Amino acid sequence: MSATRKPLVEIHAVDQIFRAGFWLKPVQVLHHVQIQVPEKSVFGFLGANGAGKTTLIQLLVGLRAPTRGTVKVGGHLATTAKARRKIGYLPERPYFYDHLTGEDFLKYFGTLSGMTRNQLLDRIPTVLSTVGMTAAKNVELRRYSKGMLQRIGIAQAILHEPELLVLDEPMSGLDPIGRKEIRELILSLSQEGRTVFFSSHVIPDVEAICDEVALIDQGRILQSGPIGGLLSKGPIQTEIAFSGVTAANAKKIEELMRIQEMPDGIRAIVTSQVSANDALSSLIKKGARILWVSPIRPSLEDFFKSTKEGGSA
Amino acid sequence: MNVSRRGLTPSLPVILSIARVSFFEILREKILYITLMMTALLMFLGFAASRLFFIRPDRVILDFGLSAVNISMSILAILIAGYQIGREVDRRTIHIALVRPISRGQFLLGKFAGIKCILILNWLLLSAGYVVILGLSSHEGFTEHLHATLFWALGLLLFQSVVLAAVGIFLSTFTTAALSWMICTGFYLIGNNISQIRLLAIKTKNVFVAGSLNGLTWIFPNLEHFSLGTQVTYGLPIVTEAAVTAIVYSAVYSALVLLLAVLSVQKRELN
Repeated sequence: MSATRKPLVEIHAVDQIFRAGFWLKPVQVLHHVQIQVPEKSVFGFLGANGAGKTTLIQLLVGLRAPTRGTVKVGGHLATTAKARRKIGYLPERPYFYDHLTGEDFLKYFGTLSGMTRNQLLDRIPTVLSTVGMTAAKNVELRRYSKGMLQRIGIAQAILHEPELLVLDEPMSGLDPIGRKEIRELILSLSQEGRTVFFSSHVIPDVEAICDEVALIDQGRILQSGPIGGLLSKGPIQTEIAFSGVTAANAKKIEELMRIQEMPDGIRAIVTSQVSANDALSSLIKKGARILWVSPIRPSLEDFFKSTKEGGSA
Repeated sequence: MNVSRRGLTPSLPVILSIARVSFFEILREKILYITLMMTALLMFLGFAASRLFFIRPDRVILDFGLSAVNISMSILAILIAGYQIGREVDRRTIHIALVRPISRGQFLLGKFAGIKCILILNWLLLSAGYVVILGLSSHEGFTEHLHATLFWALGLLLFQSVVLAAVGIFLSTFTTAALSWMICTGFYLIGNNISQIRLLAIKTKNVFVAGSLNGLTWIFPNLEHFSLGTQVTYGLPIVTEAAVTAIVYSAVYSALVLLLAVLSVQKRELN
């Protein structure tokens, strides 16, 4: 967790057990989950389908209470009304009452949030404008596209100006343009000072917009923290491009891996800082002209893979 | 923001808002129109059948019409109440609502209020149609059958449907729509034969069976309170106390069943 920001969400030692089957056999889906979400952060919750993301989100928004442990939002237990006032939520693959127009839909959820008529009249045009749905406000939801439904879903989630926005797979089922639009919307909501917690199984989506991340697998948190900090734990590689030395000669330098001949020279990878120094010295000794030396930042995907395999983590 | 002492949104705007959305959602369901068409057909059959009788054909129309309203109101109550909560859970519309600072009880009461509004609308349409058919078929003038007993009988059918809707919504908090419809139909059939069950309890020699049968009459709603068919057919005067008792019975029974429904929905796991 970021040291400078206090946590808005505190998930402490949470276990979740469901009863399944005819004999109500206990099945543990979350194991001692511990996460803190700093306020005003964009927190990505990453895991494969069935890893326990939606279950944890349901605990976070107060739809169910954990079997063991506590989930607090803004210092209040998530199941209390005080905590729920701070939360805006968009579930995965939501179905909305499709006979309502966009505006009626927002009025309905605004009323449930305790907003007065005047507050609704004041706030709805702002929210519709934020999500880019002003033109469709009088159209029934059954005529909305998937992307428009996601936008109006986000509109209902931010209508009552919650501190925490919880989005369960908000980009699921969208085309690339729709995904980009929702990413940009999440970023703009974050810039307004909101804390955004969103789940995804698509790593590039999380990598693109999150500053904090938690990885979950089979109900266990593998890693949690600032995304930069997590990636710095991953393997550090350096790409070296050079010319003036043949590929055959370059292969004699043992630090150089994955040597590739390119039209403008040769590129190779070295796997540590020491190897980079040694490889550069050897290349210079052989009369090579160094074109560039570039560190390769590990992707979240690499990190997730290596953490799951019990590698670098 | 409107906030109650417990931090919840106050009940009245929440219930009205949920009722409004539910009302317009049900209004778009085919079930409502199928029920209306079925009732119109039954009334027409009554009208046609009355042509076959030389003595008091108007009584045939009275019986057919009242039965048609009874069946229509009961079927509608059973069908629409039986899937209300289950469908909300399946579609996850309940999730977005319950994340708001409202209680599950408020949500359930809002849904029930929406169903009640639909039943009232259906009842008004059917009663109006029934009265018009009665007027058109009357040989001795429009007002002959429009006496207090008929209106009490029609009114009590509305209260009977409210009881069935309460039972239906209670069942929908923990079971599937199909099962809810079957069980609720059982409630309707048993509820309309409570006196027969009591008679059976008196006649049986087995104390355990008699006790069980008597117990059932306390669990199932006594829908015989709402049946004034004989009085209507023979134009008998209504005992006002009995009618008022039926209304109070409807209110109390529905309230108790809704209380159970609230407790049940609070326990329900949302997937």
